[in-house]
Amino acid sequence: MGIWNQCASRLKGDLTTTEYNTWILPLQATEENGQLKLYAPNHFVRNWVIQHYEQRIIEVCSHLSGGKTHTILFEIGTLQRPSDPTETKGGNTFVPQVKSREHRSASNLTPEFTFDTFVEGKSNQIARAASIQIGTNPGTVYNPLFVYGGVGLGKTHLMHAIGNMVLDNNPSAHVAYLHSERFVTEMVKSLQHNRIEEFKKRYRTVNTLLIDDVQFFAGKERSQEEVFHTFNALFESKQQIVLSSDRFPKEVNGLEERLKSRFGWGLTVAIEPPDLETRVAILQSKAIHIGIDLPEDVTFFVGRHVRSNIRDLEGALRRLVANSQFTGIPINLEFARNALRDMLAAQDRQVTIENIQKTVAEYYKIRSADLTSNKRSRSIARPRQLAMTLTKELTKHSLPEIGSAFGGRDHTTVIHATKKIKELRESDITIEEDYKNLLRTLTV
Amino acid sequence: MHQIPLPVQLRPEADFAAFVSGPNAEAVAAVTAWAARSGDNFLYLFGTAGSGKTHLLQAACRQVTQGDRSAIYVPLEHGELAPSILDNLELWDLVALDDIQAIAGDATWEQGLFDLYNRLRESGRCLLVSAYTPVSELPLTLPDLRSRLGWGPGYRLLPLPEDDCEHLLKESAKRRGLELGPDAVAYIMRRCPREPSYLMGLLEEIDRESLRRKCRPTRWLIRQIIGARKS
Repeated sequence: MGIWNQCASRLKGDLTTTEYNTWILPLQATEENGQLKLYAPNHFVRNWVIQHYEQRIIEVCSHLSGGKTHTILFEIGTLQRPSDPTETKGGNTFVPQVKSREHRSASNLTPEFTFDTFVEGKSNQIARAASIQIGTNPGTVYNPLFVYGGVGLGKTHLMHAIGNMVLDNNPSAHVAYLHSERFVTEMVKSLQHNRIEEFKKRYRTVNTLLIDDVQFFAGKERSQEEVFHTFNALFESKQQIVLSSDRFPKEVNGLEERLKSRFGWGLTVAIEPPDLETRVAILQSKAIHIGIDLPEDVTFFVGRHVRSNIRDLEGALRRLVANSQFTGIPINLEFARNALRDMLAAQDRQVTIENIQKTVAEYYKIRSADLTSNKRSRSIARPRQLAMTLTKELTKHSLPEIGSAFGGRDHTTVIHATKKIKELRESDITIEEDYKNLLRTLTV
Repeated sequence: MHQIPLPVQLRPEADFAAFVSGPNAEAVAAVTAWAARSGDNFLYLFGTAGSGKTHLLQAACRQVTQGDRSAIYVPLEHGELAPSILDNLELWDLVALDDIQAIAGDATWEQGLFDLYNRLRESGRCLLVSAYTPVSELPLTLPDLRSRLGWGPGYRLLPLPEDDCEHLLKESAKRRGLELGPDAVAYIMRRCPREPSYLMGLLEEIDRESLRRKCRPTRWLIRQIIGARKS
């Protein structure tokens, strides 16, 4: 047993359980040539441990080694993330697990995220179809696959489903799913520990690489460089790459041009916010999955009120289930209305005419007052028409009320505005994108 | 050595037994289940100042750490903290972040919290977050963070009604071994804000003063303390 293990076990007896479990348990240690290095997860914890326990640690170590003085260094960082089985342990190279369940977890895939549990609707059917093709024939049809769409619409679910399908068809395939932030963190850590070559090899030799939310690579040049080389290595060896983002590859700010262009080489598909029918279907599917009976009027009630994204739908469902389990009352419409009161009140409060005007004005970098002014230049009139359309879409105000709120305009102006925006959304991709971005912002 | 005057240490009185649930029994049950890892891994509590959020978060951490697991309580309202405090928090089994409205709107903090959320989820850890408002009303700039915080169930903590406040006052005094007579209780309830955090602070002061002056907590002593607090 190393000196740290002995010391920790002594401290366990000396300190309160709460103190020990909060401050000592998360420390990691290395021992070499009489030098003990203690790694605290961050700067704050390091300072706390030094301030409160350094003296005691020194005393215990000295006592354990018969009065010999130990050099104890307090470092910041971690030796190994608990969830990171692909990293090396104690200098030994990581050996791939043979059991399929463990293999899947080494890929960082959630087994529940499959195509079976992914509810198809108009908003995601192309993305789903493309993903199934890739899951069936990785590296051959579309490479890379780039899935983009707003938060909580199912991009991550699709990526896991692809990975799971690849493994189902070929259990020995090497699949890696990770969030872009984890790629950055792992790379930084590898650089710190002189293991960058291992890191490079790890991701350049997989059969399917799935990187989520690539927009978070923005401004991180060193990581982008590594992504670039990883991309090239995989692409040239015909291994599958799947990427996701909140926007179209060309529109991801802060990403190098060479990456943007590569990300668009294969197939780029969008996931839109689900329509009411799909939201209802998603709720029903999730209810079946957790084994509860959700009446149809409740699914429609929740689906109609929670429009923003699937995470919010799940949040609402979890709240209903928890409330029902706690009170022992079965879920019905009245029950749902009560249980979700806070959540729904907040949503209703958020979408007001003022809120829409403020959001649209900020988006176009004009003043809210411009929207209600007499100005008729296109740079003002277009945002005004969009704001009117969104107001009609998202609030229950009558057309005269909307017209009046936009500088005392007639209700026919509102009708004209909504028609105009409908036409433009079909003919002008920028207006379509603006509309969707604003809708997303207002309903998140 | 730089002193860290942060209230990350759990207050001795903050445990589940000392929490008067009143109208918040469901939220308390959800937090208790969270601490026992038998409920949802991600919870969101919201309510006004003094509604008991901090107490519940600390009680959960206490419960966890009295077993053989680790938990950390981080009060984000404390101005001296930097976003790097979120680094590697996934090494703890459970993480409780208090008052996240304090960092809403700050891009670096929001990014840090978003990354932490993902890491906790990936490593199967648990997160309990508290704020003044529901997720949808937090002034967050990162939509990705907002949607994640709304993923788990959210619970509103309602203020304790007067009867429950009185019950809390009596029980807490009893736990401290402080003999608070019915007239003293009535006096406090008539003159003080019916707010648990105020009452607990007052009780602590009464306890301290009565020890210092070696006298019983009479109405006279209580009146002095309340008067001093007001001024």
